[in-house]
Amino acid sequence: MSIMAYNGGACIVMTGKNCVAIASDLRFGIQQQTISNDYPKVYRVNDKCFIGISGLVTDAQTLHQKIVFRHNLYKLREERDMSPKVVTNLIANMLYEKRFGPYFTEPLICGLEGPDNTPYISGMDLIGAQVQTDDFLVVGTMTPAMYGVCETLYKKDMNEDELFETISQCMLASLERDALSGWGAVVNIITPTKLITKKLIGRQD
Amino acid sequence: MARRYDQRTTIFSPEGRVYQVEYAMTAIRHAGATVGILAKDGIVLAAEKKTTAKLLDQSTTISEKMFKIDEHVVCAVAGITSDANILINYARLSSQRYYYQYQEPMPVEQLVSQICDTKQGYTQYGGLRPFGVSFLYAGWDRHYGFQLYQSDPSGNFAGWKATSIGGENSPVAQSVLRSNYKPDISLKEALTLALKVLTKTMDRSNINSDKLEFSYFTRIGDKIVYHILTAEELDSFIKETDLEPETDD
Amino acid sequence: MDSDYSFSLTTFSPSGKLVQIEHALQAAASGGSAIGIKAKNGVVLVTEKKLHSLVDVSSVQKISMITENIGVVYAGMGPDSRVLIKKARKEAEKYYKQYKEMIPVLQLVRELASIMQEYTQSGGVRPFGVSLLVSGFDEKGPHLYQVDPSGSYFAWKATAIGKNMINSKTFLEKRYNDDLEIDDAIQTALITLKEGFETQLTEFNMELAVVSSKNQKFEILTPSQIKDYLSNL
Repeated sequence: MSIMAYNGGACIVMTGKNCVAIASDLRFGIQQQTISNDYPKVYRVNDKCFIGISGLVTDAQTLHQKIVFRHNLYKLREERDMSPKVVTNLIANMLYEKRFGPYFTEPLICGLEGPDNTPYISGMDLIGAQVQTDDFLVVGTMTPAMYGVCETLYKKDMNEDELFETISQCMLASLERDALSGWGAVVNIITPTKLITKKLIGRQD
Repeated sequence: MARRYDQRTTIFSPEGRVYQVEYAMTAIRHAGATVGILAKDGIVLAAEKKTTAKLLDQSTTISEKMFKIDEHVVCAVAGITSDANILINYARLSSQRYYYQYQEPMPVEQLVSQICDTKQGYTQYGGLRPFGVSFLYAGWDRHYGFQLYQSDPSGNFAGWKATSIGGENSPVAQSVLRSNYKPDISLKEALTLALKVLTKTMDRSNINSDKLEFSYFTRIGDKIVYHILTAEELDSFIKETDLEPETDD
Repeated sequence: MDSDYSFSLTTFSPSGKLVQIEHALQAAASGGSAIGIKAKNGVVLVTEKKLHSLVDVSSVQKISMITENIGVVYAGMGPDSRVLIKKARKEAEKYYKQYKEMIPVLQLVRELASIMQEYTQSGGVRPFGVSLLVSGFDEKGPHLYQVDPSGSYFAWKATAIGKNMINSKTFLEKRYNDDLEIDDAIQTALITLKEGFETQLTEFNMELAVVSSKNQKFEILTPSQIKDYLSNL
């Protein structure tokens, strides 16, 4: 089994009109054994940028701590938050630095970019090869199922309620097809003025 | 040559002095005074601004002598600003490294002590000149609550209730603080006291937002708040504060 | 021996002064005049460029570009400035590589300042004998900074470095106002430079650069462009 699937887990980011969403499942396991059903893989970087890290949880935690370290220093020096684009490049560089002994993680970044709050999503592989899209990105142990539902349910220019509904359905529908992720999910919607976080109940078996 | 023990930076003179450190401390006396007062509900840092020119752009530089080191520690500087910048960068890095390693904020005294170890190093080995800068650190941690520290170019540091660094009139500042400090002083009273100290050490005509910098550090609920007074806030605070009439001496 | 060069050359004098820095400032202050003015919508840099009559003027540059939207002019020792410019360009590229975003002017100024500080404390080196005016445009608008050999830096609305700095600064204090547009700023800068100029100001014995909100690009003007401005003076 791949080390990337050792703990299980899945994550989706999606754009809407003037908003973005990021969702992850809540399972934390060791191979087939579930340890916790309350373990989100989404981390807040700042009010306008969240990241989701799938893969090996120990590496995800360390990577997140390193991002916090770099972000705090950036804030002190520049007296501003990192934009999602900057966060993306920073993480990609951090991952490529460990090209030959990588963190076994696949990060997704989402947020609102610039003064006019343009929705922004990006993702990368474990050594920092970036990809930017304008609709959605998925990572985790059940990507084939996630691609399917996302491609079916995604519409352009959804408002924050529609976006919440869509990303929730995508998450729940695909996770029921996977043993290594699921056990409920958490959804975050980022808008220029507020942040909405909701937990979704899923099957607990 | 008349000067023998004062060029090499890390040599004792026969009478047991390290001249470069003493000279560095002289450099700090030429800088504007900086006052720190520890109150029961916060800390006040106040300073005299020396570099003022009509065409300086005040809009981009918020503060000339006060810097945030982390969410829970700030510092005020007296001495060579460019030397201070190097140490501040180092302090910020240290504080983040601690957080990364232990996932909790660095205790204030430990941070101060680490910066001072660096300063001490420059007085003993490597042959480099010492840092010409003194600091006041204001911080809060869960161990000792609000804390105020002072450090000098030798690497010495101590915790203080109220103190000042820099300025030609530092003995005056110290004596005003000594006679006016109360153990249960509030943040508001501390701001007034800081202004009183600076009015005694500076030229009276300079008591305005062009020549002064005030900030306070406190906690509202569980949140640490650090605020540098804007020019308007500072001017109205000076106006409100009933300063004693100037006595001729 | 290696260890002979491991101690600071810049040390404190008994009065608490760093004499080497003061000498370096002196070197900068006796260099060719340079003036910078920040207008509402841009920044202008001008400098005198007095050369021997047989030198090809186009081969000497006193104003340099650091990034697309940041440039510097120096006063003092030319060779020292080239070292700093090279380091500044490298820092700017390092920042871009890390974040894929152009370096903000203040961050570049800080990097330059910390390099210059390093040369006031490191073993076996003297400070840089130059003052710099850094101008640029970023997210927060136009900026004008001065960086000194000590490693300290200041944000200015308008200032001067080099030979004529005291007179020029007094002149600028009288002429400057907060509503200045970039074209007025160019005029004011040229008049200020002319005031302290011993001979006739021509498009060949000076340099002029502008960065404005128009395209946010740092542009060093050609002699023919300068000529247009001079004829309007």
